[in-house]
Amino acid sequence: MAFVTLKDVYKRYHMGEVTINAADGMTFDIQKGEFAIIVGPSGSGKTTVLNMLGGMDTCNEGVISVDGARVDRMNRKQLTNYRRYDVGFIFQFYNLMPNLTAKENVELAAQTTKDFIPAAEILQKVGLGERLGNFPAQLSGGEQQRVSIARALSKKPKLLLCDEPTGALDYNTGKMILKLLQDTCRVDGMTVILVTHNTAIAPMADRIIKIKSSRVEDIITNSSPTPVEEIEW
Amino acid sequence: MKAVTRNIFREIAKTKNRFMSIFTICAIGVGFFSGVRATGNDMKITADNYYDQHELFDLRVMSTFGLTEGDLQALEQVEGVSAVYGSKYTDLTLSYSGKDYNTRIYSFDESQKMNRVDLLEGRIPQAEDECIINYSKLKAGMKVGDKISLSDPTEADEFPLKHKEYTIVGIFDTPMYISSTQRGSTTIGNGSLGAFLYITESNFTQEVYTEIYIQSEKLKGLESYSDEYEQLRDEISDRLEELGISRSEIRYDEVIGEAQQKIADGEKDLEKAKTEGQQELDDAKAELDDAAVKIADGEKELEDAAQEIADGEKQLEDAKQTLADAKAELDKGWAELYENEEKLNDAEEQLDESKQTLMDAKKQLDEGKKQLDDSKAALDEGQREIDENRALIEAGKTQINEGKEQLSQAQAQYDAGLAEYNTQLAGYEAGVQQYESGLAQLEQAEAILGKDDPELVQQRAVLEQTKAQFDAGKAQLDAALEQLNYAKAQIDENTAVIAEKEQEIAAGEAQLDEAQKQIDEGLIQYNEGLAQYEENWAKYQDGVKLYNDGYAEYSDGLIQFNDGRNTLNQAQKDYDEGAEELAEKEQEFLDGKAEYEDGLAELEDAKQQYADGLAEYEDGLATFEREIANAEKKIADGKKEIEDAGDAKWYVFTREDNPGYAEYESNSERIDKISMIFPIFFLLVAALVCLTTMSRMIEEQRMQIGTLKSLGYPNRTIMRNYIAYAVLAAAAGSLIGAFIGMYLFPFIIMFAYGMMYIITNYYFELSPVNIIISAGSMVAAIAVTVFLCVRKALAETPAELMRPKAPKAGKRVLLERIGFIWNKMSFFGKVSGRNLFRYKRRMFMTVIGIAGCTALSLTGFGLKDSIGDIVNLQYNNINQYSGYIAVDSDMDAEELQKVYDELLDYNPETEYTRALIKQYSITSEEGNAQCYVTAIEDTGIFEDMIDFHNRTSGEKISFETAQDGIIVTEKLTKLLGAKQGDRVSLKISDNNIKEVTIGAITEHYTSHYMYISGEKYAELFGSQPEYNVVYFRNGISDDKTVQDEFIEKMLGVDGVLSVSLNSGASSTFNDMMKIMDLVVIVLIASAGALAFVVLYNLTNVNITERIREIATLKVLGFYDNEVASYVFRENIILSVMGAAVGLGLGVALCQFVIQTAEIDEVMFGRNIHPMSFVWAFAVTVAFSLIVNLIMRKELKKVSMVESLKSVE
Repeated sequence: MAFVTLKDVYKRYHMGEVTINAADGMTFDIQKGEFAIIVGPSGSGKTTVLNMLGGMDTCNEGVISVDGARVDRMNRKQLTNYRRYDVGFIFQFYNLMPNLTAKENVELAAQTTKDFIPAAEILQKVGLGERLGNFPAQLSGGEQQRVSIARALSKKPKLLLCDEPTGALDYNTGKMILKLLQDTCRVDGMTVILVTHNTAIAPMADRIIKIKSSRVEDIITNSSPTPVEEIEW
Repeated sequence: MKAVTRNIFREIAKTKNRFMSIFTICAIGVGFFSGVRATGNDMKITADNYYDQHELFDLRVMSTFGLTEGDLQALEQVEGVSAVYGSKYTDLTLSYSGKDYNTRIYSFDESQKMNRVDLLEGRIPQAEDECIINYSKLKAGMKVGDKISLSDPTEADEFPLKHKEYTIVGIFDTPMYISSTQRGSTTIGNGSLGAFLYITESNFTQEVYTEIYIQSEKLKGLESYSDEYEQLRDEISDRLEELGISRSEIRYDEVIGEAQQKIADGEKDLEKAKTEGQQELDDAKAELDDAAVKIADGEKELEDAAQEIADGEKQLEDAKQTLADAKAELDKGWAELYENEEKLNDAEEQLDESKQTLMDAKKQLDEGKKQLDDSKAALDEGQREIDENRALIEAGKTQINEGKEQLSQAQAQYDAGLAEYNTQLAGYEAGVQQYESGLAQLEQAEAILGKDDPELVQQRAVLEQTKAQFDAGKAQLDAALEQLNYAKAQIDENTAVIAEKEQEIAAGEAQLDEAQKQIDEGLIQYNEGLAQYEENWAKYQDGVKLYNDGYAEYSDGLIQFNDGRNTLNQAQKDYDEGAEELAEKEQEFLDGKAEYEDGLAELEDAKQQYADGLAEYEDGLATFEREIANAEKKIADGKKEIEDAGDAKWYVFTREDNPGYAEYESNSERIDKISMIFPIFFLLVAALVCLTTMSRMIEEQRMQIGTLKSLGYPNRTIMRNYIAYAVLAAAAGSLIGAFIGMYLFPFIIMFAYGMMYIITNYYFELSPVNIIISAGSMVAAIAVTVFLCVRKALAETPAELMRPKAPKAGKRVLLERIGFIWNKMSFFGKVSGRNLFRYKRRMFMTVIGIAGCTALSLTGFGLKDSIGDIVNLQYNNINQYSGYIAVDSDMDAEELQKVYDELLDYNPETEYTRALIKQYSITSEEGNAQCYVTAIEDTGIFEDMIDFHNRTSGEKISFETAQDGIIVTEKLTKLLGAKQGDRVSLKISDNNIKEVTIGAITEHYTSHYMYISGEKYAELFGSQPEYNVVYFRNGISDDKTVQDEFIEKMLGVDGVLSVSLNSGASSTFNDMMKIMDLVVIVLIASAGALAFVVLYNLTNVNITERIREIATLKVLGFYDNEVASYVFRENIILSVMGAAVGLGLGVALCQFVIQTAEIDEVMFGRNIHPMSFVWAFAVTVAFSLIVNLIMRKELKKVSMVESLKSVE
């Protein structure tokens, strides 16, 4: 069984009398250690997939399993634990606590688990060894996102979920972040799932899952992913 | 509707929570402020309406000599007086089911012109022995229909009412006694009144009025407790007092003149009684002497009578003997006669018996004869019947024979007919044969000739004719045969009938023969019976002869007997007459004897009477002498009374003297005072929180403001938008709050007082001024804030506005520099610490808001403490005496000693000292007050009775050490604004004002006193003090019955006017203060409500502001508890900080409120109990926790998707 599996997943929202299918029978697998990109235009349902994978939302039907655990069957408490221990989440807008320093922001996440990478070490790793004591407001967007990545990695998650991590960044900084993510996958064997509307960055992934109109349109397995450096958009 | 305007309503709908927060805070703040402020006034209006509706008097006049009709008329003429009403009352003891109550009995005003009563039950009294009662909280269980009895505890000669027993016909409330606990005082029993009765006026024996009530139309138009009312009332009161001087003189002359006249009359009467009495006694003596003579005569007469009786007795005995002899002889004669009579009776009986036998025999014989005759007649009848039947049989036989003959004739006829028929038949048969042969021939001819041959035709016709004749003959024959057959049948039938008859006749003959035989036998029997009867008859005749002979013999005997009896009857009659005569004589004798005995008894009676008369005479003499002495003493007393009577004097009272009236006013003033400061603070806190909320809203709406501005909307329009939002919320909340508050708070507080007063018909005044002040200031404050905030925002360019305001940079806080603390704090602790200081303004707002609530709560609790303390401090700690006795100031030493003796009798250890208590006006440059100057006879003892000490230093104070020996109570110095050593002016009389020094200030809570020694008094006032009270300390128990007993005992001593016990005063005061508890609860509850709304609002703001952080924490896998504590940790810290600050603030506020709320007469306690701090703190923190609990749900609802949204 694949590391991440979605099988016939349905998610429906009821807006008055109208039922919207945000996920209309999605099925795909992602192997352990893969760098997967879920790509699709706005409103295609990719965020829904992300929410369900991240344990922030539940599906109405179908199977979602991560490392053998049935996420679709989890209750509120189990979902919280799943988010706490198994998932690292990277937001488009970094979502750092403005009142905490870079180190403290990482510690905030690390505090929730027993087995964690010390904040200083992980920040060092993402290249912020010098900025430990800075508050988010004192950091650039790329730096903030790196703090965000450090925060996600510090608790040694099974899965890294990234929501448009470059969306709020300029081209170069975005590239750096993507590089960091790709390295994390390649070097540390982390399974990374990146959600984006930007098809241009798709070639860097091991697996590209194209989503359109709440359905999986195509799954491309890329045996020779393009290095980030060569990607242009 | 313009889009911008519509936007306001959208905004309201979208931010319901915020809108409602502002609405609610304004409602609570303004409601409380305006409600509490309105209460004092509402209380007064309520009372005033009640007084007006019940026509409560304005002034009341009493006189030491009673009031007359003339007084009434004079009073009516006084300027300002519009109505007068004279009334009578008396104080008596009421007994009901074994218990006694001091009761004031009023004459009932039928017209209900003044002091109208409210009948709670029943009806007004009509008959003289009916009453209506008011016993309020006595709970004696008296009800309509019960009987009560009244008695006079002073046991005066004359009972003041016609009846002593009354039936309760109604229960009432009266405006004269509005307090449920205070009933006024009396000079009887334990000195306090328990119940009131109204009875018809005709019931009172006194002629003068006890008091006259006065009303003024002008006063009615004024509000009862207002200054205008009091001023006008005092003016009228002055006029009444002036009138009183002249009226009193008139009355004095009248009463004293009358009394002197009475005494003169009495003296005259006494003289007359003396001579008359002496005369009466002398007459009695003479009568007694006469009686003695008469008794002697009577004795002589009786002796003669006794002799006569003895003679009579002898004669009577003789006569009785003679009569007895005659009686014996007579008895013998009677015996003989009775013997003969018996014999005769036997004979008569025998005769009757034989006569009866004869008559029976005769009867039998007659019966036998009759039977014989009957049987003979029956036999003859039978013979006759037989003969008749035989004749009938014979006739039957003849008929049969005739029938037989007829039958044989008929048979012969029939036989002849048959023969005839047979002949005819033979003829016919031959004819037929002829016809047939003719026919045959014819047919042969026809065969030859043919049928149409005329001859043949004729022949045939003949033949046919013949044939027809034959046929007719045959028919006749047949008819004849039929007749013959019928006849034969009849013959046969008749033959049968005859045979039957023959048989019947044969049977009849046989029967007849049998009957004949029976009759013959009967005849033989009859003849035998007849012979026997004749034999018996002969016997009977013999018997009759025998009887007749016996009867003749008996008749002779009877004649002889009757002769003998007549002779004896005569003898008897003679005897009876003799006996009767003797009886008469004897009766006469007995009567005489009885007469004699009666005479004897009469004599004894007369002797007894004489003895009694003599004793009576002697008693009369003694009584006479005593009565004369009494009367002389009475006259002497009367003379003395007139000498002692003193002046006639009028007393004018106002409503203030009604128990509860003044107290009600001070209660309402107390509420007024509290409303001066407490609600303002309340309103301030509310306003502050509203401001925070609104300014926060403007911050949030920067983007919208920027958008509107860039769209080209003028600043004015944008401004209007936000001001409208704020004003709408604030104005709606304020107005609704004001309307609810101005009913709710006055109602609750009046309801609380309602437990103590009978006034229940509440009036509320929605004072526009009050609404405008409270709601207006609230709305204005918010409008101004919004204006300032929006103006500040509008000053920026749209571009700046639309860009998200750079999030406030995280900053290191001061605490971080203190490594040893910071490092020890948990990670979350650090986060919270930094967060707190990040939003400084919010922190301050929250802290101030919460501090305000805590301060309000603490003030509530503190107020309760300080009021509650009064009783304990004043009555338990300071007042060490047991009580004081008001005594007549002109008692002499002997009388006073009696009071002391009585006190010592109760407890030999009793300490006591006399004092003079009198109220004086005292002024300083800063103020004035009424105070009781208390001059003490023995200051050494008095220092044990009152604990004189300084409140703040606790230092002991004594008369020795106090400067000038003057000790003044603390509140008095506050009112005068004076301190130790200051000089103040004591107004001894209108033209005598003395400067005195405040020598020492002592802790004291109720009323104001200036304590000085008796010597000091003499020095100051220039005269020796006329002591009017005795303070005592005897350790009397708190038991009510023990106390009542003691009071009653003391009141029994001459010159004792009233007895007040420390514990009694304490409980009265305590009751009064209990009402404050509810008011305090209202304060605390309101503060709590405010705390709740404030915290809710602030927390709500907090969550809205940090929704993104919260969502992120959730995505990061924080548990609900962790998320909550991340947010609420700050709340709790802020609450605790706020509460702590609030406690400090509360102490100040409480002191301020207490000083403001304090009424002049009383000093409240100054200490807040430690528990009150704990409670105030706990209340705040509890509300904070409740809000957190509620907000947790809100937190749970925060969607994690929020974290994915872009920063606004």
